[in-house]
Amino acid sequence: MKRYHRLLPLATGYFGVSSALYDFDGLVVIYGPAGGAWHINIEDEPRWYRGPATVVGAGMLEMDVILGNDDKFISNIVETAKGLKRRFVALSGTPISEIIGTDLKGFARTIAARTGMPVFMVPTAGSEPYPEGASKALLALADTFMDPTAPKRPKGVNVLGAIHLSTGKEGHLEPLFQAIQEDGFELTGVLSAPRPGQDDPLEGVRQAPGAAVNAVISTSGLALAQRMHADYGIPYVVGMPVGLAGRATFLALLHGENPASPSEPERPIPYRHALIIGEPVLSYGLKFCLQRDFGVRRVDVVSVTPSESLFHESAGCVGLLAERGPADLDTDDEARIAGLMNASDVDLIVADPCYQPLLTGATTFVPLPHLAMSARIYWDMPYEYAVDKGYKYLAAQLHGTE
Amino acid sequence: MIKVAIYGKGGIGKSTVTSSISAALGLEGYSVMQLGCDPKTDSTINLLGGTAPQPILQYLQDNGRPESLDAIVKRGFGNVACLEVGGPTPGVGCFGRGMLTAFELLDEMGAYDVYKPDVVFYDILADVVCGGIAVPMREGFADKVCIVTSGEKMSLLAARNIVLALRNFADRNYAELGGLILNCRDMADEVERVEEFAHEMKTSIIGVIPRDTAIHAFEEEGKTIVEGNRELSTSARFFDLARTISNFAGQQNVA
Repeated sequence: MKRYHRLLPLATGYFGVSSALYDFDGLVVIYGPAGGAWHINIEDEPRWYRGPATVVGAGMLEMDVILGNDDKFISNIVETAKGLKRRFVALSGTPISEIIGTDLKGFARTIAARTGMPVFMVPTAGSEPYPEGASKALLALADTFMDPTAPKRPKGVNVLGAIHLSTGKEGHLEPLFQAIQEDGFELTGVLSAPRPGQDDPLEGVRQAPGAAVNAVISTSGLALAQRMHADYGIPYVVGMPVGLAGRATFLALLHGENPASPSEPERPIPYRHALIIGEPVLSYGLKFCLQRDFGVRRVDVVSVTPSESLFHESAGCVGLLAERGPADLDTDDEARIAGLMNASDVDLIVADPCYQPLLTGATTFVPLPHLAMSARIYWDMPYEYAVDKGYKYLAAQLHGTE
Repeated sequence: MIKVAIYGKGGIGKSTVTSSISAALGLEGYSVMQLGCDPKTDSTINLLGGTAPQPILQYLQDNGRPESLDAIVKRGFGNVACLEVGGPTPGVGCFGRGMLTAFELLDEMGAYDVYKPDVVFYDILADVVCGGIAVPMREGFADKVCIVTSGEKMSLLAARNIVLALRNFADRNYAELGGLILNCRDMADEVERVEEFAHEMKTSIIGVIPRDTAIHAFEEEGKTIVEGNRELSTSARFFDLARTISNFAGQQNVA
């Protein structure tokens, strides 16, 4: 049993589904108890304040479960989806549907028949890490909307795994998108963030099979990248480029080129042993930056969601901006993380601010919110990580100047 | 491959009928898989000389996921691949949910690719009393549902419930109704009563099994009547049913 005294439990599978699908103008239905979607919308989905509700709960009450009032649930969804003129309906499972064995796939069939809309089911149980739910949602979205005959775009890049639980507010990724475009590429599809100016937010998803390469920026995008390599032959690069060396290496990998050898750090800092806690792809991007741009000799990564899939050999993977260190580990255990943070030789920590209370000493702490941990608490906090802006943010934190 | 779920009122003879059809199909050279879906774990015992395979749910509890399907499959008469879902002891747990777990395990482990059955039978414990018992009807599991019934009122009421459940799920792409199997209890006008019911339900009787003490005598020996004496006229009825069910694969809808 996990015990949390200061940390919040991380978001689980259906939060990942919500995060992956939120921006595509669909209706995401969480098959849970009455009030079950409330905490997603209020706590984990800050975008909800700014747009129409796209995540709703099934509103199950005790007698609904006992008597199997499926028709009431289905009718509510049909009515809501039609009323809100949504582009699709996605059903996501919770511990309720998992325990009672609800046939969400069958529900999806019925709702599709009654609405004429695309409807799909995402098989979540509510006990899995959020990237697994997001990953399944992206696969379902791809199965439903990707156009295998989309025109080929030799300079096209899809960005996969851009879900807010891992990457934060959409603006944090803009420097990355700009860097990709300034380097001669064009953005074909960003999953899950429609590009500005698109009338139909699903257009990028439809056109995605035409891209030349996929950029996977969180583990949530890995399964889709592997599927797209198998189905469309699109190779992929995995990594979140943080800082200057990260940017150069990432873009070289996207071009299919060998990255330049490490050079002297841009601005050495007096730290010797850093600890990064967070989502693995971003954490390894930060590690790359701290080592190459700032000269930190030892950087350990604590992945709070599973990282092993990053390091599996895969035919389609043509570049990986992550190097596993001997002390890296996967854990979200509060006591274990606290032990690592307070180790005597650790002199720098980069993590969500929620981890800071675990520190007992005066170790330098650089806050970098992880939405899956702190939800909306630090949504508006000024911070950056992607490419040059990430470098400037870290430099300001570590040197006190940009 | 055709996958058939056998439903019907408790005690109506589903396992006897299913095992005998499996035996007949096996003798005819078909590859058959029979999955008993009853915590009593007694669906396949008459194909296995009175013993049962290791129940899937008990295996999962004791050992976790099996490395090989061989751990939960026993070959019975006619080379039928015999499996039993197993389930909780009476009065605790949730069998319907357990059945879903067992079905998903077989699917995930590629059981149908490994054994390549021509015919799969799911021998379901009873009437469709709750959502869990309807699991075998779901998309991806059974293609057809056959209902074993007698002419007795309570048996036909149970059959009606099963047909209504199937029709209720029509837009979910569930299994189709394959027809009724009349397991006679020697009532007056029994065939006519069930024919009338079939007409009302817009389905048909696909086989009639007479009441025959030989069935029970061979079951005492852990055998089906087909294994015991394939020359008997009752055995011939099971061979007829076996042919009908093997023909399901080529049919769109016999209901």
